Formats: sequence, structure tokens, C-alpha cells
Amino acid sequence: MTLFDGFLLALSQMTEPYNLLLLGAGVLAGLLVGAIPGFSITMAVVIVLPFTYGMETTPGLAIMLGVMVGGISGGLVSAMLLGIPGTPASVATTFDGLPLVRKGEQGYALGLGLWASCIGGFVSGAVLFVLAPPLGQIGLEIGPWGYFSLILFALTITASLSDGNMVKGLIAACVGLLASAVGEDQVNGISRLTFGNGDLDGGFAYLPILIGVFAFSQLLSDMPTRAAARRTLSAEAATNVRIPHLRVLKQLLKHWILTLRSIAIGVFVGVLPAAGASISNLISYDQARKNSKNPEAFGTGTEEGIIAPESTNNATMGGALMVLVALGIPGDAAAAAVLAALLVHDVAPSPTFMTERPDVVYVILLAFVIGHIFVLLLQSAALKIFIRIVGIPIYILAGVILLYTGMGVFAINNTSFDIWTMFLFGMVGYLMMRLDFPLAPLILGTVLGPIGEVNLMRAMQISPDLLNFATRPWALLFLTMAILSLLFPFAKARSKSGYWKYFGPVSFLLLAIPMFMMQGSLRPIVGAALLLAAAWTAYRKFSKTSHSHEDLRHG
Amino acid sequence: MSNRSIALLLAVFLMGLSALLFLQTFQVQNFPGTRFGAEIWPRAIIVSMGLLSLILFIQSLKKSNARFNAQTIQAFFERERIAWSVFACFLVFLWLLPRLGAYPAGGLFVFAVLTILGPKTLRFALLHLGVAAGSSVVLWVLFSQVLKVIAPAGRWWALL
Repeated sequence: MTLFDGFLLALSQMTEPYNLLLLGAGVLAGLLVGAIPGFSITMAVVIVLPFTYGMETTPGLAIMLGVMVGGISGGLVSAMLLGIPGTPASVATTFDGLPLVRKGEQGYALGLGLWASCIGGFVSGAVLFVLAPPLGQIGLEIGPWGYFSLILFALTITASLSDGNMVKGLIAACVGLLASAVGEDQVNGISRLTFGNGDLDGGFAYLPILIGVFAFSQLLSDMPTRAAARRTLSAEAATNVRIPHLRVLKQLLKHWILTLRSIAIGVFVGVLPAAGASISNLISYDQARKNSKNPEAFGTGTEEGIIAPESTNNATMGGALMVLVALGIPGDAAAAAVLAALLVHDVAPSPTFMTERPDVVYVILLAFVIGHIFVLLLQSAALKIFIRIVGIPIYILAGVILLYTGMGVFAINNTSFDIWTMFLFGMVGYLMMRLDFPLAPLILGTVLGPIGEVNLMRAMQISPDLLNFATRPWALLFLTMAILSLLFPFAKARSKSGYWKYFGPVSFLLLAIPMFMMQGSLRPIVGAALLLAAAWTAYRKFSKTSHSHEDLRHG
Repeated sequence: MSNRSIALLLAVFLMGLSALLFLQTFQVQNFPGTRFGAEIWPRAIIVSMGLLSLILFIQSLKKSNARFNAQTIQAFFERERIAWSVFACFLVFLWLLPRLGAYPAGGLFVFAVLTILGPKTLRFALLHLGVAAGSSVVLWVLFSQVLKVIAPAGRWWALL
């Protein structure tokens, strides 16, 4: 099947009323769950996933992609109306969203966020359409050495970007990798780490691990005290919100450069493993403030402060999807949850996914783009239900959701063992959260462990020579990135002292080497650009240092 | 108890766990002539985890040894009591699952969690009962009727 045939088939499937209805239902569910503070997109995917078990691939994907799109857009509702971000991807939206709402402009504020989200989603979807096929071709070049190095990079960067202790992030990744290593190995089918328990021969399924870790840790962290557990979040002021669409669109047109820049930031951050929308919305807000004509207005309810983070967070999801469909690597915990949803429907993204199943790839891309239209259409309905949901005390939601997710986990394989797995990893996740371990590396370790092992063993069976990791350009590129990501926290802490201030230029220089080793003409050009960037940043650092020395000399 | 002692205990626990798991990898029985045994991958991870735990141990030595005050300890225990009560309820739910069946056990779980965490008045007890019963019914409709999941039916008569 050619890519075009795949696109036509996907288009015919995605325009069927049944699939559109499911996509809309997914968006509505995502909007609602995403809007509840403390319930992330991962949680939204986890809650809706059991509904899709019995469905065919296309309807199942339509509903899950709908949840994803709705989940990330839903976060802005509580960020603006309550001042509490519904998901970490909407943290920056509260900075200007809430002040604008407090000025009595609820509809305008919500409209800006909504339209910015949708435009971010549309444009990143278009980028996805253009870039996913060539990225899929690159996936075929990477080989087992490169693939293993890419996984290593995904884990190290997740750990290094984790708040606080990088060592704890790496330990969390090891725990995830170990959890996925229990039971029969991927290559020979030999049991290991089972302590003689036959029930463990099949290993732990990773969906129960993911659900256990997130459901328990999130719900329990929302209830630190009995008073907190019994609280409700009131949003009565928002019962009659009307969005002035024309005014909003005029404002977005006025800030089109800001919107495009924010989308570019979102797509770029989304493509990087581990750096999800929780990071990109803050980067984008910061960039918007730095480039604004009125930076002092930020934080008081300026439009730019809403447009930037909201167009970025949806675009980040587009970037993350691009890597997921082209390489089979989930960028963050939310993408890992989406990967789990894909696997439930017998869809396993890999480097050959684009050429083998273009119809499924285009179903994913189309669902992502069309889902954004539903966000606009369903927001008002979602708002009415949202106001009712936030009136329910958290402890009631927690009790019902835990039971529901437990049954959902059971329904995956019809075995109680999976609920025990959920319970066990629920405790592990909760304890790790309490001891300040980041949970994203744990989840990524669990998801990426089997892929990493298979690729390492494949590479070793082709040739046990470890030098292959240095002589193959993609492997070298990802290994370099892995090492740089480990050094990044040190460089950030000591960016103004000694040789660490040259971390940036040296990084560019090291990354240029594998680019020159690659075939074709475009990649050496990228290599040359990296060399130029290295020279330019080194010159700037050096001239800054000599200026400060001169200033000191002249008193 | 101080931050330092908790961090040190954690690091020691992780090192012990790594050692235990490392020993367990020697129980792996590979097929004769296997070039790369099934123990290699977990062993590489365990060694990495052991080394990282050692670094964590060294880092912990630099932490403050100031003891927690009574207020912090009280807040800690309240939080842990809530969390572990929920875990205990879930454990009981898992024990009851094959005995009572999914939906009665699920209803009991919701009722127990709501009763433990919610206000303890008659009005709220009735509300919790209603939510628990409603959840069971919705779950039955959703899983057994819509999704056609064969949920554990239970052998409640065996409890008699």
C-alpha cells in the first residue's frame, strides 16, 4: 500500500459518522478529565482506555486520540476559571488566564485559549503530515545500535529534566527497566527474576503498571489531608460563558508571529524525548514575554500570555505523536499511555510502521487534526458538565475512579493478576513519589525496557564489537546526546564558572561529528550549521569573559 | 528522624535490593550454547542501579541532620494514614474479588474508602452507600453488559 492509498483509506474511515461520533466522545471525555485539577492527560487516557478494548482499530484509535486532544485542551478551563492548571501543560496559562477572567472577561479568555490550542493543533498536525514520512525513512536507517542508543537517550534526558535529583530520576528509570525485565526474556524465552514464582513467568504487563503508578500516586497526592480530600472546587462564576469568536480571531491574527513561534517551540520540544508539554508551555510563555513590546503587562491578563502557552502545548503533542508514529518511541508518560492504547489495538509503532501500515498512521494523524475541530464544538457542553463535576468532593471521585480503573485493568486480559500488579506498582509509585523520585522515568523505563533489550541483543548478535556504537552515525549521535543530557544539570548549575560555560559550544561541536558521518547532502549541511553555531556561541562566551576581565581591570 | 537518616535508609535499602536481585540473576538457566544469556540485560540494569544507589548514599551524607518538628511529623502521619487506608481497602477488595465477585466487592471497596475519608454522619453514610451501590450498578452495566467482560463471579457461599 502506498502512502497516498493509505491516506485515502484513512480519510474514508475517519469520515464515517460512527468514527466521528467516537472521536467527539473521546474529545468530550478528554476535555472533562483534563479540566479536573490533578487529573493529567495520562489519567484521561487511562480512564477511557477500557471502553475501547472491544473496538476495531480505527474506532479505538479515534476515541483515544480524541481523549488526548481533549485532555490537553481541557487543562486550560480550570487554569482560567479556578487558577489551578488542569494538567501540567497548562501551568503558564494560569499566569494571565486567571487575571483576565477576574477582569470579567471569562468568555474572551477561554476563547483565546481555545482558539490558540486549536490553531496549535492544526498547524502541528500539518507539520506531522509533512514530516512523519521522512522521519519514518530515517527510522529505517537507525538500526539496532542507533535504536538502543536512542532509548538510552530517552531515559537519560527524562531523568536529567526531572525536577530535583537526577540520580533519583536514573534510579526510577532502572526500576522501570527492571520491572519490564521480570519473566521470560524477549529473545530466548528464559525466565528470570521470578524468585521461582510461576505466576511471574509472563512478566508484568505494562498497562497495569502505568495505571497503578498514576492512579494511586495522583489521587493520593490530591488528598494529603482529610480536609483536602473533602474539598470541592467551585466554578460558579462560569455558568454563563459566551465566547466572542470574532474578537478572539482578530486578536490571534494580530499576534500571528507569536502564535507561529509558539507552535514551532511546541513541535520542537515535542520531538525531543521526555520534554513534554509541561516544559514547553513555560518555555513558550518565557519567550513570549522576552519578545513582547509590553513585557511588564505579563501576569496582569495580557492576551499574549494566553496565546503562547496554549498554542504551544497542543503543538507539543503533535511533535510527540510524530516521534511515536515514526520511531515507536514515546516522548513522555502521556505518549507512553497513548502507546499503550495503540498496543491494545494491535498497533505497534516501529521504524517500519510508516511503510507497513500507512493507513493506521494516517488515521492517527487525521484523528489528531479533526479532534481539534471537536474541541471548538464541544467546549461549551464540556463546560456545563465540568461545573457539575468540580462540585463533587475529591474523595468520592477518588474512590469511584480507583474501582473503575481496577476493573479496567482486569478487562485487559481477564486476569486478577493484572489488578495485583496495579496494586503493587501503585504502592511502589506512591512510595517513590513521597520520596521525591520522578515517576516519568519509571514509566518510560517500563515501556522502553523490552525494546531496548531486543535491540541490544540484536546488535550484539550481528556483531559483539562495542565500537559499532561509535562508528555508526545514528548510534554515535544518540549516545552523544545521552552523555550531554547527563552533563546538562551540572552545566546548568555552573554555567558561569570555569570551563562549564563552554558546555553549549562543545555540545554543538560534538553533535556535528555524527552529522558529517551520515550519507546524503542535507545532513552534512546540518553538521556545518552546528559547527557554525559552536563557533558563534564560543565567540560570544569568550568575548563576554574578556569584556568582564577588562571591566575589572579598569575598576 | 531527619532528612538525612531517611535518605541514608533509602540508599541502603536500594543497595540491598540490588544485591538481592543480582544474586537472583545467577538462578537463570540458559539453553546450552546461548551466546548472550537472559541474565545479561537485568544484570546490567541492576549494576547500574547499585552504583546509582551508592551515589545516592554519598549525596545523603551531605544532607541536613536537623530533626523534624512535631507539626511536620503529625502532617506526615495524617497523610500516610489516608494513603495506607486506601491501600488497605484495595487489598481487601482484591481478597474479596474471587470470593464475593467483582461488583459486590467493588461496591464494598467504594463504601469503605468513602466512609474512611468522608464525614462520619448518618447523612453522609447514606450518601456513601448510594454512591457505592450506584458505582457497582454502573460498573456492571458498563463492563458486563456493554464491554462483555467476564468479571469474577465470586463464590460467596464458600464464605459461609
